[in-house]
Parts: sequence; structure tokens; C-alpha cells
Amino acid sequence: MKKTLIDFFKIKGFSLQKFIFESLKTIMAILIAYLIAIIIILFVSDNPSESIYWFIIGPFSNIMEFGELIKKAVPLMFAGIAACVIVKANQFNLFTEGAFYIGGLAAALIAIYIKLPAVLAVIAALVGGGIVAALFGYIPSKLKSSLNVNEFVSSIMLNFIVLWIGVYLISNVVIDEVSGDTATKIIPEISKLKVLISGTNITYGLLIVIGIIILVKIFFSRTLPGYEIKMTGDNQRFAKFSGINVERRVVMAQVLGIFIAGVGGAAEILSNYHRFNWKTLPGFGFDGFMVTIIAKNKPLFVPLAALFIGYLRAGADLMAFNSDVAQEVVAIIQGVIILLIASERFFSSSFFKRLLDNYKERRNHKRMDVMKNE
Amino acid sequence: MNSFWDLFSSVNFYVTIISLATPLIFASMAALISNKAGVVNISIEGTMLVSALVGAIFSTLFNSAIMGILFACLAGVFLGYIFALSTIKLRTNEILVGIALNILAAGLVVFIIYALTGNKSDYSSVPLKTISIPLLRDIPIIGEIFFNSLNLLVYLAIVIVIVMSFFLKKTVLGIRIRSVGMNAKAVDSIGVDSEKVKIIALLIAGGLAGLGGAYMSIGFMSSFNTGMIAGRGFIGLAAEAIGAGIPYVTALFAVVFGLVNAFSLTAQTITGINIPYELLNTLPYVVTIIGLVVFAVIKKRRNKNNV
Repeated sequence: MKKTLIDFFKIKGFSLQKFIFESLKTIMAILIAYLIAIIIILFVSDNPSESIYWFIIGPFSNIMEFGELIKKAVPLMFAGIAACVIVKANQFNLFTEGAFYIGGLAAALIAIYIKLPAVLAVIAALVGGGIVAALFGYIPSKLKSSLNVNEFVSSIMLNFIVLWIGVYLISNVVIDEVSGDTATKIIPEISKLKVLISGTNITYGLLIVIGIIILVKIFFSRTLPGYEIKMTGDNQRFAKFSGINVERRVVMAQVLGIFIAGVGGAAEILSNYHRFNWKTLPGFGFDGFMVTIIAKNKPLFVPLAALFIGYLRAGADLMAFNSDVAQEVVAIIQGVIILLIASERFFSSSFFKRLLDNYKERRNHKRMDVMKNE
Repeated sequence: MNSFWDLFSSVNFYVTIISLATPLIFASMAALISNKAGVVNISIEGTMLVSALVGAIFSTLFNSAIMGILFACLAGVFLGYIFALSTIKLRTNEILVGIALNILAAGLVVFIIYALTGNKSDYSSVPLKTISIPLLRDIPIIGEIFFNSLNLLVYLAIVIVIVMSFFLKKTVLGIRIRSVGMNAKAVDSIGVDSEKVKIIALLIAGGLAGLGGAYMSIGFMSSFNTGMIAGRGFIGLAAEAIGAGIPYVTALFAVVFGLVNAFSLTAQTITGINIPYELLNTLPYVVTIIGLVVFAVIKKRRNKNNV
């Protein structure tokens, strides 16, 4: 008996052909997006070769810059895995955005005002940030499950509400007048996430998010609630008829995702900030959905997608610093990539099938013509 | 200003309400026509942002507000076309396309401003002049509110609501759009290309969102700012959801949100209540959520009674 690799994958319910197609599609999307970006840079830059050099090679030029790439990818991993959990249930709760904000604020406040011994202080701040975010996140998810209020609109409204509450707090209630800015007091060193690799800005946040991603993977492939969430996302009616408490699973997925986003906000503040001073939404929530689209909503691909976006942004920052192109050029690349990756028809197996069909049809027509002429 | 009474009896307050309701009317009409065609169009926010900038740029380029509006509308139609292309031709999930376009728009505007001016947030425009209609403006109160200090786009918004209602009910295309939203396959079966109808609806939605964006940078203010849309596209979606797809009701709720917005902007000036402006800023969003909840409760009750 000979067992090939393909047979092995078949047993695991994994289609190699599909995997190759999906990978090719992602690569094609990225290439097309880069091509567009390079054309744009050629147009706007006075010194395009240098701009493109910094954009593409820059993040790998030394360990410090590579560390920047990882540092940028960590919150994207948090946001990506948060969005992944939510999208698994086929929900689009964008409160992950507000969760980053309020989670970061709550973590900063816990770190400043509650005195705890070393490790406990960090854990309390992280978990506290997550819980505060989840409490807010419960609102749109409960409204969706019990009243069928569109979670998309309500969560976006909630983002703005949370933002203004936060701005109110840091400019009136917990403001540190000494800082000369609307910001909280300095976060004590004891509560901060320490640097993991010296010489870079990579902190223990990286380990935390990788741990969370593995837990999410186990949750979806090994536990009943995870399985039920997936079922609910795939086909809600079917899940309901099979006896799954759909409403509960919908709420659970959203609250869980938002909890993770809240922890992400906390980790971001505890890693990279001396004080909490965000006066606008950080944008990670939307980025998370982008990451999970690129990762095809597979938890284990989330870090890769996040690293890719981190690479784009680190490169764009270097380019903006060293040349005359604004780093927002990445927005164009990101937009194009998501549009192409998320589309069902672009570069898919059916895309090729249609090409083939068209070809066959034309060939048949030709044959018919030839036959007619004869 | 001293009391609520002063606020509600001042002409300026009502002008502010109408001014703030106008972009919401455009946004909600864009949401309405997309929804009628069976598409959830969340790219309205991003479309408004991009077209607000395009409007500002072309208004200064031609030194004419009207040209700005025209190009903003075209930019909106173009983004609507991208949305339609991705959702209908490339079969991409509508929400994902919307998210992608919104991310794209937020970055694109900063990129364009930086490439043009070197700063990253503002771009001044040639503003639209207010229209003052002789005779009508002399009517007490109403004349002052409606015929003395509003601009062309405000009147256009009102006209669009009326036209939209007529268009969806009485014209062939309007009825086709509604039927596509109800059952696309049935429409295909009688020989009408449902995809084409959907694309047309989305192009119209894009154009309307474009006008809404132009209003923000040319009509309401005299400059573009990257944060100026501030969720108005999404509030438009909410107004449409609460308005249950009826143009007049949708517009009414857009005006209600405009009122809340106007109140949150002016309430600080009332002596006696000391609510900080940050918390007042949450008001439009809180009211939107409350509106959605109330609408959902009513809908649920009605469904129960019907069963």
C-alpha cells in the first residue's frame, strides 16, 4: 500500500489543489497591488528608486528595523485574531476598534491606580482591559442576537461613543497636568511589558498574542462551543435546526473577539507608551478585519498576514522618513489586496474554468464554422 | 444664549439642523437605493470622504464650487462602480468590499493631500454661496430659515428625496431596482439583466454619496478635513434602517439625527447645564443606537402580531 502526500491531505479534509489556488491568488493579489503602488510612487516621487528601495528592502536593512516590523505586526495579530473569531460566526462587529481604545485606556488606568506586585500587575492590566472592552462589546452583540439590530452600524456608533468617553476621561478626570498634554499619568514600569529581544522594540506582547492564536485554534478545532460557532457562521438556519443555541453562540463569538481586541489594546499601551494619550481611534479594529481576510479566516495564518501588513507599514514609514512619499500609500496596496483576495471570482479555480470554457466554446464555434463551410 | 428656550427659538439653530441633516439625507438616500437593490452598501462613508476631497480640489482648480460638486459626484460614481464591480462581477462579500473601500479611502485622502500640499489633514475649497430668494425670504421665521441662508445642495437634497420616492414607485428602472432587491432570479427570468440593474443602483448610490461628500467640504465648510465625515455615512445607513426603506421617513430620521447633532454642537452655550463637549459629542451616536433599538423592537412586535 502506497500512501502519497495527497492521500494524506485528503484524509485530513484538506484539498491541496484548493490550497495551491488560494496561495497563488494571494500572491497574484499582492503582486498586482505592489505594481499599482510602484506606479504611483513613480508618479509622485522625485527620487523613485530610493523611495522604492526603502519601501521594499528597508524593513530588512537591520535588526532594529526588522524589530519595528514585528512591533507593528503585534497589534495587527491581536486585531486579526479578534476579527477572525467574530467572522467565524459570520458577524461583522467592528467594535474591535473601540475595544482597542477602551482596552488600552482601562489597562493604563489599572496600571496607574491599582498597586499590585510584579507579574500580577501586568496580568491585571491586560485582563482588565479585555474585560472592560468585552462589557461594551456585549451591547451590540446582544442587540444583534435578541433584536436583530445590525451589529455593523451599532458597533461603529459605539466606537465613536467610546472614543469620546475616553477623550473626556483623559482630558478632565484622569489628566496629568504635568505632562502638558491630554494624557494620563506615567504608567509605572512594573506594569509594562518588558522587551523580549534586546536591541529591538519587540515585547512580551508577541508571546501573548501567539499564545492567544494557538488557544483560538484549539478552541475552534477541539471544543464544542468553537465548533458550534463555526457551524453557526457557516449556516445559521442549519445550526439552529441541529439544536445549537444560535443566539448564544453569536454573542459568545463577538464578546470573545472583542475581549481579545481589548487585551490587544492593553498590550499595545503597556508595550509602547509611557502614558495613554490616544485622542483618535487607533484604526486597528478595521485592520484586524483586513488581516483576517488576507488570512482567509484561518487562525494560524493570521500571524503571517499580520507580519505582511506590518512589513508594508514598516517599509512605508521608512520610505516616508527617507523620501518624499507619504506612508499612506500602503492604504492603496491594502485596499487592492483585500478587494482581490476577498473576491470569489478573481483568480479562482472557477476563474480558470471559465477561461477554459470560453476557449472550448470558441473552438467549438470555429469547428462549426469550418463544418458549415465544408 | 441662556436657556433651552433661547436655543429653540433662534433661527440659527434651525439653519444648523438643516445644514447638518443634509449630508445625512444624501448618505441615507445612497443607502436606500443600494438596499432597494438588495445590496448592503457600507462603502458610503469612504465614498463621501474621497469625494469631499475631490470636490475641494476641483473647486479650487476651476475656482468654482459647482465644478467641485460635479467632480465630487463623478468621484462618487467611480467608487460606486468599483464597489459594483467587486461585489457583482467579482462576487466579493459586500461587507468586505465596504471595509476595503473605507480603509482605502481613509489612506487615499491623506496620500493625495500630502502629495499636493505637503500637509496631511486640510485642503481649503471654494465654498458654495448661500442662496437668498427675494420675496420668499421676507416671510417671517420660515423665510429666514429656509430661503435666506441655505445653499444649492440643501435644496438639491430635498429635491432628491422627492425624486427618489417618485423614481422608485413610478419609473420602470425604479421598479426594476426594487424587484431585483426582492428576487433577482425572478427578474432575470423575465429577461431583465439583474446584474445591470444592480450596477445602475450602486452607481446612483455612489453619486449621491459623492454629493454628500461635496456638501461637507464645499457647502457646509470651506475646507476639507480628513476627519470631517465622522461616521455620517454610517449614520445614513442607520437612518435608512429606521426609515424602513421609505424615502420620506428615511429623510425624516436624517433630520432627527441632524437635530441631535446640532443640539450637541450648540448645547454647550446654554448656561445652567455643564455637560463637557466631549460627552455631548457622543449624543448623535447614542441617539442612533437608541433609534435602531426602538425600530427593532417595533418591528419585532409587529412580526409577532402578524404571526
